[in-house]
Amino acid sequence: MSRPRLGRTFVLNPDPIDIEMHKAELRDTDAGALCTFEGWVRNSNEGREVRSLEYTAYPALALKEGERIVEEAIERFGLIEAFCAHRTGHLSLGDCAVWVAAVSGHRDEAFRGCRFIIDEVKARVPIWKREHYRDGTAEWVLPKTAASTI
Amino acid sequence: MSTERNAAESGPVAGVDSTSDNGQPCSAGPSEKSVVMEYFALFKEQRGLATETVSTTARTLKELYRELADAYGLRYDPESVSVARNDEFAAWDDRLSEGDRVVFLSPFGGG
Repeated sequence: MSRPRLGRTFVLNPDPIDIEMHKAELRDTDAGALCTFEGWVRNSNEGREVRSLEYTAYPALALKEGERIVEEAIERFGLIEAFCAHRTGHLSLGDCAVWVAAVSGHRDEAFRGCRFIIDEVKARVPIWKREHYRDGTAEWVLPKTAASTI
Repeated sequence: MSTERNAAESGPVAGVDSTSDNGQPCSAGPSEKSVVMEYFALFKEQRGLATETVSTTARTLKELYRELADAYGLRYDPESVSVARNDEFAAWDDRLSEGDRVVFLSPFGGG
């Protein structure tokens, strides 16, 4: 580790994610690579027209599990730094719902670490998504069909 | 908490073995305890509230789930439901203790 860790490695954001701020915080002269992933709110899912999304979380456990995932990624891929922010609340089409960053000496670790984090967050963190459709209905999205951002 | 079951409505429950459902009433087990339920997402919608204190004779988390699912019609693909106790993931067979805070977790949909 090239420097002390600053703040949390996983956050829940009720407001838009300040990507540039987070990138600035992750800057490190030991790093040769930053790989990021953004999940965006898409206008359709499973053939239905989506108007907006609503995320709700179980904060106490989501923060713990999210941090565990990021720490696992740092350990497993030898990352210098990693971070993930996930939105809560009501999001519009095109909004960034989740942002992942992995910083490493070389690109391979950064790509793999970034992929690991988003995959694990989707599987393990207690966050739920409700889709609001053009026809006025809304449904909680099951994992099998939860493809609205990825 | 009522322990009456309606077999026509209840169906199978996640990780709940049927052997414990042998017709023996819960009141024959340990004494009643008080636990705090928190509900999120689908279960919050189905229950119609975010938190409540429940008196139960359930000995394990799965007994509590079966009891509340029957009482409140908390329905979901039972294979997919998991559980947290005191803000950590837990196993269905874990013992329930006085004052526990319990959350039933429907399948996650983050990302």
